[in-house]
Amino acid sequence: MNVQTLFEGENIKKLLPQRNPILMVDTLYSADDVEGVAGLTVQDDNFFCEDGIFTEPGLIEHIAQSASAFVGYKALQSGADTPVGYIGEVKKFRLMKLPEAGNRLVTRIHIMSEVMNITLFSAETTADGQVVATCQMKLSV
Amino acid sequence: MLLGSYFKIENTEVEGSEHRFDIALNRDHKIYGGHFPGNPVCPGVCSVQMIRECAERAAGCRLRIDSLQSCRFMAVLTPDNASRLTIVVTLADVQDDRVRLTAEIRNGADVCVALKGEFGKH
Amino acid sequence: MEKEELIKQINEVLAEEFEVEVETITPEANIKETLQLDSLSLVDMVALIESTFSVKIKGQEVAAVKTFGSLYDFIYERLGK
Repeated sequence: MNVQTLFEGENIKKLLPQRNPILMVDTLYSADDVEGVAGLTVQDDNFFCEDGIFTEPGLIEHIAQSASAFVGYKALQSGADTPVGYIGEVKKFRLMKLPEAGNRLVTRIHIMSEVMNITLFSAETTADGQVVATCQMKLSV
Repeated sequence: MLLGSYFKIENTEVEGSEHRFDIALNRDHKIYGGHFPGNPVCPGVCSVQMIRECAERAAGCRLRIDSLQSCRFMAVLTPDNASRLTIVVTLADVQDDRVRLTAEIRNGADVCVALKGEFGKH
Repeated sequence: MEKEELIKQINEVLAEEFEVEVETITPEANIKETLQLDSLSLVDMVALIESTFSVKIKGQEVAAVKTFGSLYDFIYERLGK
């Protein structure tokens, strides 16, 4: 098991302004021009866990921060500061299954379009390899 | 999850399928320690969760967010600029196993969050 | 693609996505007002045009396009290249 990562552990904080209890990404695996992949292991004591189930707001926050970490990484590469991103809109969100504590979430972000300071992207999240949610989102930076 | 800690409901009114909740935010909630350190901003997903918890009251059962056609965030809320808000949940179509609904979070006359989705009962 | 056909196709996809009557889309009409676009939904229009016509549009280019007439010209020119 030798998976390449770009940022993980304490280092992820260089890409995201969020801190515990609402830091919802622990790894940035890869990032190119239009696609980035980030991950999170859901701990029992995660703020958004209820009775061992990782709930919808946690999942949506994880997706938003996956995109934010990816955008932050690209900004760092180009020598800029990491921007603070806000969710502008969640669209076409579909939940297949709620993840459980202990699951490894992996989210693939695909940038669809960027206009002014708004980035539109699509996202797919898997939990231990099974697709649990898809959506589109707009991040305002 | 958030009712009683992140926010409290101060008044409820029902008019047909429209349920209005006047709420107050707790600016000392621990989430602001991380969002963001020294600069408290209401996380958008906490607004979604508040809508869900109010919708559960309106529907009288636990709800799971199965799909969101759209949830738009038009203004950034902070516990200081928005200590009191109104959440309006309109149950558009109630079935045995799910409800379709729209919801808004208003800060005075301004609509700050607008949501349209389908929630499963469980 | 003939320009007439392009215009028809643009009007149809925009009318459907933004739920307006196709007759309200005229060359002189203002895009943002007609489609009721705000800064959040402008990116939806760009993404829709990019995917429909397989073109890539930059943010700054969109800012200069105010009416449907200039949008038709912009896309027509882009497809011609």
